[in-house]
Amino acid sequence: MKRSDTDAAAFAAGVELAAITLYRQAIDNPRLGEEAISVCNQFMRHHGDHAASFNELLDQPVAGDGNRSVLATYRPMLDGAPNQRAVLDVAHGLEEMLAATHLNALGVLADGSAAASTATIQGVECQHAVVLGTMLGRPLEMLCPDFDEVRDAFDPGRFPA
Amino acid sequence: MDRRQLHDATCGHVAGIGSWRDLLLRLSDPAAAVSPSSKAELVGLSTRRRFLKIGGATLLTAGVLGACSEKDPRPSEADLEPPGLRSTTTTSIPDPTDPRERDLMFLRTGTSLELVAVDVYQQALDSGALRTPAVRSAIETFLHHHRDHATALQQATSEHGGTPYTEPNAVVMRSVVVPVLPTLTDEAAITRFARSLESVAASTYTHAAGELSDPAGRRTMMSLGGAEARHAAVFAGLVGAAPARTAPEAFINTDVLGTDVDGRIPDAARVPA
Repeated sequence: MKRSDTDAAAFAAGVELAAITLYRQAIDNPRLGEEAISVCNQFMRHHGDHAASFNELLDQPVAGDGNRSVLATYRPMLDGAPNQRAVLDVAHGLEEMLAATHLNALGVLADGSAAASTATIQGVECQHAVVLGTMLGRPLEMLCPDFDEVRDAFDPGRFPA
Repeated sequence: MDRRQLHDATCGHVAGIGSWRDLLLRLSDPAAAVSPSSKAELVGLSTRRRFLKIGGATLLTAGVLGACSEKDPRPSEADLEPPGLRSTTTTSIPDPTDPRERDLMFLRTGTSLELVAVDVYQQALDSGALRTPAVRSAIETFLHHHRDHATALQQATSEHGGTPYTEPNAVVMRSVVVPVLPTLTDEAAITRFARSLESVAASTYTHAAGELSDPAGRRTMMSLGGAEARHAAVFAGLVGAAPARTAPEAFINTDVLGTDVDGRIPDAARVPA
């Protein structure tokens, strides 16, 4: 793969690993109900699978807790979450960012197989966002934009790998 | 268990499979009166004989459907063979080798699927069967999305030097939608059908995104594929799935749809460049 593709895959693996860390933190919040815990557990597993998928593209897999800048942004939000709704709100925002990040990567990746892997993940992040948004009672037009966009993507400049 | 019991059990097993399989299974409904040739067409074959003989999960479903819907429902020995033992002939439409032609094929196929959704949702709205405001609102909103998606794909087709496609996908309409429409008489059936259509569209776009020749095209494709994946999740919620069941898999499946596969349309349903 080209260097830019390797960088994009490493960045994606890092944000997926950060998502696992953040969901683990969310699940530890005693204010979460049974259904929310079930959803968070499932999405955490999905992100583990996603991180593994991106790591398969790399000669040197990314390990650890994930992208530090993403963690530095979201951990305090979860620490301060006073109730289940606040926790799910953070998770919802994170999933929208992940969906946009992978969509953005699709416009950068030169390697077709890397793009194919990324595409299978992007749609699932979209579905995660819908599930969490529905639990939050968000209106349909917020759950489902006409077209998915890259506007909210994690910027590697602001969230370096 | 004799062959007839095995056949009945197999049909019963298939009847319990959900989602897009529902859509395929409706083809086995006698009320739908779908000809074997239509089913064969959907899975990319030209005759019932080939329809029954082909291998793989999709075609196992197809073979079962063919067997379940015949006057004489007894399957042949070959029909009861495990998929791995069957022949594996596949598509009837050649895969273009020229990248531009391939891109155009995906763009035009996407357009044709969007126009299927527009058609189905308009008929659902006109049917008077949609009584729950949330369902009606989803169908209305997504109809507009699909119309916009079709327009975007038609524009992209023009930009690639092709002729924009303007008709609903003929194979999907003839083989699936038209036969099934008479059975979509209540809101629950319509919602399940809509969820299936959206899943298939999401899978088809996801597959296309891995096949297109340029990154910009891939991103455009998944700006639609992501939207369809969202639609599918909304409909899953509206049919009563628990939140964790609304997004159950870690990856969008890109295999061709089949018995245990919620996947993309068969290659035979693609629209040539």
